[in-house]
Amino acid sequence: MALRIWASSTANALGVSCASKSHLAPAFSLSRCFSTVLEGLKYASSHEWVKVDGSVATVGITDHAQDHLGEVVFAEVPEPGGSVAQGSSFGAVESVKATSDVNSPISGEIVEVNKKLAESPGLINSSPYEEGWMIKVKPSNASELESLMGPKEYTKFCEEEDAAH
Amino acid sequence: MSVPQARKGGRPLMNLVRFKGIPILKQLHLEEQLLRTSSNNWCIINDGTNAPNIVMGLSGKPSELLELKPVLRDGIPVIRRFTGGGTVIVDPGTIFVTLICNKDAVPDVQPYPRSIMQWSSLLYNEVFQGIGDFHLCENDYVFGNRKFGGNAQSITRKRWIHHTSFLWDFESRNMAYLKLPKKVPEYRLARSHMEFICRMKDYMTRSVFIAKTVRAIGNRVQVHAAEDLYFCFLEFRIPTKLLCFWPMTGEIGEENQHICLLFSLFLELLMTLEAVFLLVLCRLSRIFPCILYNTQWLPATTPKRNITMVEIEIDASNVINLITLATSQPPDGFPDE
Repeated sequence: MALRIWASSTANALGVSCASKSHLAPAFSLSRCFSTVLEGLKYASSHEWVKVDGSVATVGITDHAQDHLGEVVFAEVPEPGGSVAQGSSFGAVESVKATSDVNSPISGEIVEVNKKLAESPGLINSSPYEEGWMIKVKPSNASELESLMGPKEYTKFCEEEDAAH
Repeated sequence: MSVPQARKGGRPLMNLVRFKGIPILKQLHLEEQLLRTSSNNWCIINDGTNAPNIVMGLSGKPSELLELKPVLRDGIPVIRRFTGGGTVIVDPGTIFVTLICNKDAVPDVQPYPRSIMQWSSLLYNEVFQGIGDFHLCENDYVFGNRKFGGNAQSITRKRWIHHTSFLWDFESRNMAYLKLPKKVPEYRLARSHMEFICRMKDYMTRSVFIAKTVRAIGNRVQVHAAEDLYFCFLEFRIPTKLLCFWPMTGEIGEENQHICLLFSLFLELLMTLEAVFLLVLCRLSRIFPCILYNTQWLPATTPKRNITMVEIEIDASNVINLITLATSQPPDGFPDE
């Protein structure tokens, strides 16, 4: 299991080298963790990330999640204009015969959804923090971010979770 | 109203519910409700569904997966279920085994597809030990290199469901409704449906399979034969849908279109009337004991099915409980539906 995770993370790392060209920098090297965790983002224990940029927050699933899910073949996202609540499901991804709920790390109004995912759900695998974003939300409660994990905490959380299995 | 404990002693508790011949759409709706609204662990075994139905995964597209003309000609219902995976055609020869678990109930299983399937394959290894070279092959249950069981999952924040349809037997002609999917497992090679799949009946009887499955599950969790089944009418999104035919386009699609909306409203009305009917009969049964037929509203030609005697109780929270009192074979002369 650990060997499989390492092997797939190596492949992801080769993919992530393109993402690191952007302003989002990897927080930790591969030698310290099996999946990429980025600075400037907040993380939920259900493996979603959120990046706040002014009045809009972008949400997606983490590299750890996409690695464990396998090839994403379908992404179900809501329509703009709806609302999300912290911790509740707003959509789902399908991979390897499974649908997995995607939960929102924050509450707010959905202002935009990633329409590219309809044709290219694999963006969630290849670029989970960039092109694979799922929804953009206008947060209704900024204090909710304080309950989320930072990069270091999330990395440790993932390591502990994987070590427990 | 007592609620079974999710864990008793050291091992998690799992409620076992056994059906015979309930419609697959009803089974899927029940599974979704239990996954989303229950906090208990469940094992559901449905020994055959009542009539042939096509069941697609969440992202399935009828035009890509089905031979639409024969499907429409023969009036085969098409269902889109809430779990992932491919398309199957199920019928009375299909045995369904569903496991719904809290993540904490099986702590050595990560809530991801591969981990869940690894765990379930160990369970079925025990069921089929020494029989027919059983193993999990690229997410399918196979004897040798022939598939006889397809499975799918849905994973929520705190729970997951793993359900399997086992081809104990099947009608060869039914496979003609399915196209060869674009994405196939590597071990399938270029084989047709009939060369790719096999029948479990060639290896094991139905009763032995079910008994061994229950025993294997009991080796991992504490099985509790569920005497009551809670239907909680909480609001949640229900992806499982019976798809409808659109004559204008010749397509089979979602039921949120006008004709299908009317049809689905009609079916909802029938379900409500059935619930009221059962409620009245049960009230009368306190004075005049009677046997209630296990009714179902989906039009189908059904073989005689077991009679289930139920009592309906509505508690203070307006939750309707169907308490199964007994299940028996219908007596001779008892009218079919």
